[in-house]
Amino acid sequence: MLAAAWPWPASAQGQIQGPAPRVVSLDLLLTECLLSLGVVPAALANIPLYQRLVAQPPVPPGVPDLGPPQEPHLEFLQALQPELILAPSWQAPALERLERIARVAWLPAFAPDGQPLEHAEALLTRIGALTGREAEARAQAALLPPALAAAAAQLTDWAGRPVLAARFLEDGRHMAVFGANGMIGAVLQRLGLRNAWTGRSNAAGVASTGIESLAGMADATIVHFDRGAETARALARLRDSPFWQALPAVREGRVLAMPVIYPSGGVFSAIRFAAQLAALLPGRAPHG
Amino acid sequence: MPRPTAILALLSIGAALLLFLLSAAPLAQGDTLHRILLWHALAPRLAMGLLCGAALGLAGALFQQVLRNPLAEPGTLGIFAGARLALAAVTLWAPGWLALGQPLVATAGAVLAMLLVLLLSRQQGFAPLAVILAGLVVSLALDAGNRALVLLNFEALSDLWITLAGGLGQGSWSMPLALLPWLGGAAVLAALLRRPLALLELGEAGARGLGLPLPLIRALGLGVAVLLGAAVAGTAGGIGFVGLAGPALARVTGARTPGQRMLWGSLIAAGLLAMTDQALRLLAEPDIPAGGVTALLGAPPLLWLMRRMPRGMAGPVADVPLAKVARPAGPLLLLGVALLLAVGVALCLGRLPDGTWHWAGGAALEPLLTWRAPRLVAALAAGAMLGAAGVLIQRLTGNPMASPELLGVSAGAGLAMMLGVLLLGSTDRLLLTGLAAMGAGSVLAMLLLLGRRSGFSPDHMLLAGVALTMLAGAVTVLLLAGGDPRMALLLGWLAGSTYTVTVKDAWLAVAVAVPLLLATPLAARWLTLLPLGPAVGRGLGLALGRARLALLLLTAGLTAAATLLVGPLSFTGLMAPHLARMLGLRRPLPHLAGAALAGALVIALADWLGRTAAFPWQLPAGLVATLMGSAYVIWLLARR
Repeated sequence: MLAAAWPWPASAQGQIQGPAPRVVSLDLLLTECLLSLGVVPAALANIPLYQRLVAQPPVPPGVPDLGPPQEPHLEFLQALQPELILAPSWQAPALERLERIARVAWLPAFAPDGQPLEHAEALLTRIGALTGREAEARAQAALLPPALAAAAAQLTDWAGRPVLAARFLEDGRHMAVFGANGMIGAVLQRLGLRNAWTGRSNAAGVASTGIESLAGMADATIVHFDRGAETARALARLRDSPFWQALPAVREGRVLAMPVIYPSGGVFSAIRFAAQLAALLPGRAPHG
Repeated sequence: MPRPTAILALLSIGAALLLFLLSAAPLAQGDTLHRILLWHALAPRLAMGLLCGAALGLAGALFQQVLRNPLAEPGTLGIFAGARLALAAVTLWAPGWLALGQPLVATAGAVLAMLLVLLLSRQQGFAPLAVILAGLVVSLALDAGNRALVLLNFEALSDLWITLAGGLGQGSWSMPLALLPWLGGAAVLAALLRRPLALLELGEAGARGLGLPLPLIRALGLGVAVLLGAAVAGTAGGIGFVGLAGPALARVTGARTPGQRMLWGSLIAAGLLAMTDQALRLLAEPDIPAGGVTALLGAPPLLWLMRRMPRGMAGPVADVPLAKVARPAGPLLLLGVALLLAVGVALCLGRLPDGTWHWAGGAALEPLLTWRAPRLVAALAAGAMLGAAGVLIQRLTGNPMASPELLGVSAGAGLAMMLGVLLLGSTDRLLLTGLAAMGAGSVLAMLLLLGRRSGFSPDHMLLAGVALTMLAGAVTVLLLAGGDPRMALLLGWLAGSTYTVTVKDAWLAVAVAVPLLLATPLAARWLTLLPLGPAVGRGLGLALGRARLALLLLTAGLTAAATLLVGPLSFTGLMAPHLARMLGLRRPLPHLAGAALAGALVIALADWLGRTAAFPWQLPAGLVATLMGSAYVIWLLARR
């Protein structure tokens, strides 16, 4: 009944070996993987959040929103009759009943061994196998090493230079920074850059800290994620701070904005991040 | 001047300065950047700690003096909740307004919250009990609204959680300088109010005899305290316990007059907050917000204070109407029929994927029952248990605003669960439920241990529970500020979600609820005698300590079981006894039965509403119950 209401659009790539199963995803990273393989999902959890944090690849029009990722509406899900549900494994204890609706693939959303890029490739391959898109997954994963190599080649002048990836919070007093156990930190490392943040970070590779901690990273170039009006307000507040104005990075124009990258993203986000860094940094000669 | 008080104030401020010098000394020798860091980031941070602490201490002293309640501080009167809600709402729907400045938006929210509290207590001439009860209601309602916003917009608001977690880090002098005139103005007003406030201690009749305009003095005192609380809430966020601890420490060390308590209480509070924050700056990496930590550190002193407090200090006791003639059959039948209707609606009425309403019967109902029935059964069991527990605690304490959650059992369960997720990194259901049961059990054991000395005096039990509940709240704020996405799971549970209930859980709920509910009638005689006062009770042969112990155990058991099912947040334990009494059920037994039915009714309706109202999104039952209950109470109070 509902399957008829949502026609089965052809994938962007076109050369698919047979239709993918009707898939539902409950996690932003898993959604990113699905969409990057050209699968049109039967439904996704929290589409507005995906559009805000991940943005690329875009959600095809007409895909219904399933509600909050922690509590997808079970009756709604049952009516959708999906064949496969992709869910993060940390939610398995709370959502085990989903298995009565469809086959559930419990996939690890966090890299358990601090190897986020390897983890992202493995995850993409798994999702490719689950959705009958092995070829697309192989092709997508194969793009990562050359993309990283190309970006690294453009950044040879920057080798070993400290870079701080950050997102400034609206209050102008705090920022989110990214440790080595997340995708952002791993890409920095692969490009030969030195991650200026060496403190602790949570399971997703994120930490929040006050802007005073920039004093300990005085030589770093700051690359921050621009969320539009919110970031503009943050920067306006920061400009009022004598401490911010005194930072070498600020005085020397080494604070650079780039479009939002999902910090817990997969292969697709990693390629985007590397490309954005390669486009942004070379124009600015490294200090010294 | 009370010498021990002054020494304590000097010691705490001196310790804060010493800690600051420890981190400042190496920087003063450093390069330009480090000197700017010292003078434009670390020095304003020290100033911010001192100013926020002083503001909260003064606010606390004012609140405590006006309300004659040692538990009064901005956090317990809806000030922090109002500020948080205003900031969350503006962030979501009118982010442009944030350009006006976060403190201003927060102040608007706090003032609105306090106006609501005043409106609700206006007809009682801002009498202390009326204000504190209204404050509790407004606080619960606003925080419930806030939780709903956070659940539906976790990512959009998680930044706000970090900003308002009570961290004092600064990048310039702008915040402390903005706070300074507030504090200065408030200090002048407080100094002027010092004598009239002292006369409040004469009691209603005495003060009126001297020709004092009581409502005006109270409103002025409250107004100054609100502005102080709001200024802090809008700049650094909610900082718990400081406003309570400063004046309390001043009082125990010998500050007798309100003027002394305001002066020394705010100085001690300033020292306490700045000392905590400076210690964190030296020890913690990355930064831990001081606001969460003060609440953690404040719990043990509060428990200690509580044991020294004379009986009856926890707040005035309201009359509980007794043994009015009423035939219980009618109201009970009414509640029973309403409950059956609610069960029918909750099972059969749902929504189709396109959002239209759909009444499912017969074969169409069958596949839906596997989803709807278990959570409904759990909701009914939890609601009935909370309703009965509410009657027990309200009659035991003689206070109609006592709620079973306030015993701290729920908070203990929540704390254990959160630490389980954070430290063990596990989201395993069985493990977490086991931890929650252990948490509830250890809080109960602690309450019993602490309560033995006071003969299980209900006031002391409630104070201990409040301390533990605030402690759990502080840990929640700290954990949410960490930004771990797995905390979203707990956020659902903390808001009272029945989503994860399985068939097995539902049966277990029934198996626990039935014997506990059947045990409550055994307490009927005690419940009749206790409100008559200890003297009458003893005269009639009541073993006071043993009766209180038994009632506490029963209440805690009912609450713990309900908490494990629907989470710690629920207005039901407060509301259901009121509903039953309003229907005319006043004697203990019918009151218990009526409240159990009313509790089940409220949570069943809340669960159904939460499942269908925002389809396909959903709100937890506990949250909807709180919103329903508080809207009802506000309507009720405003009508009177």
